[in-house]
Amino acid sequence: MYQLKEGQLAYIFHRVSGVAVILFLFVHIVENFFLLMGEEAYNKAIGIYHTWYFRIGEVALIAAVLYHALNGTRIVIVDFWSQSTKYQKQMWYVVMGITIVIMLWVAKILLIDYPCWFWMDTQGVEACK
Amino acid sequence: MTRGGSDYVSSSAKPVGGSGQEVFYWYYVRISGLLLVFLALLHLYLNHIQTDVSDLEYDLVIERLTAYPLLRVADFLLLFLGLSHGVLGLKALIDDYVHKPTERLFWLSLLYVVFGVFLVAGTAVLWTLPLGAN
Repeated sequence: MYQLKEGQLAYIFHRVSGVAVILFLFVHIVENFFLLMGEEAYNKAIGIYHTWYFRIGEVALIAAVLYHALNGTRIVIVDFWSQSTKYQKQMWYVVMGITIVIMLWVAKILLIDYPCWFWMDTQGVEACK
Repeated sequence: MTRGGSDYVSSSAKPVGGSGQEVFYWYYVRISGLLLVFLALLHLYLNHIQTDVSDLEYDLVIERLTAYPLLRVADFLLLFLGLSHGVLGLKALIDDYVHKPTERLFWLSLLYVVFGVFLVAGTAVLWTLPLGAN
C-alpha cells in the first residue's frame, strides 16, 4: 500500500477544505441576495439552514475554515521563515491538534448544547426557543 | 519541480521566475489569507457560536447592521478578500489540472465571470440594504 506522508495529507486537506469553503461562499452570497427581495423571501430562503443536515454541514464548514486558516498560517510561516522548514511536520501536528480540540468545543456547542437541531426541520426553529 | 522559467508558481516556496502577475498572486493569496484568518474566524464565532443559526432571520440581520455600522465594512472586506482568495485558489486548480489551451480559456473565463457576478451581487446587498426600517 502506498503510504501517505504528512506533507501530502496537509496538501490534500488544504485543497479540499479550500474548495468546500469557496463553494459555500457562493451559496452564502446567493442566500444573502434574498435580503434584497424582502423579509418573507429571505426568511424562506434561510429555512434550508434550519435543518438537521445543514447543522452537520455547519460543523463541517467550521472545521474546513479552521483547518484552512491554521494550515495556511503554517504555510506562510514556512514560506517566509526558512529556518522553520525543519519543523514543518511538527507544525502540521500542532495544526491538527488545535483543529481537533477547537472542533470538539464547537461540536459540543452546536450539537449537544443546542439539541433542537435534530428536529428543527420538522418542528421549525421554535423547537430551539 | 517546475520552478524557474515556468509560468507556474509552486505553492510550497517563494516564487522564483514566473510572470509578475503570478508573483503578485502568490503574495496576494498569503496576505489576504492572513487577514482572513482573523476576519473569517471572528465572523464564524459571532454568527455560529455567540448566536445560533436557528436565531438567524431578516430582522436580526437588519438590527445588527443598523446597530454596528462597522459591520458593513467588515462584511465587505470578508466578501472581497474571501471571494478573491477563493477564486485564486480555484485558478490554482485550473493551472494544475487543465492543460489544453481551449479548456483553460473556458474555465478561466467562467471563473472570472463568476467572480465578477458574485462580487457585484454581494456588494449590492451590503450597499443597498435598507437599514433601520424596523
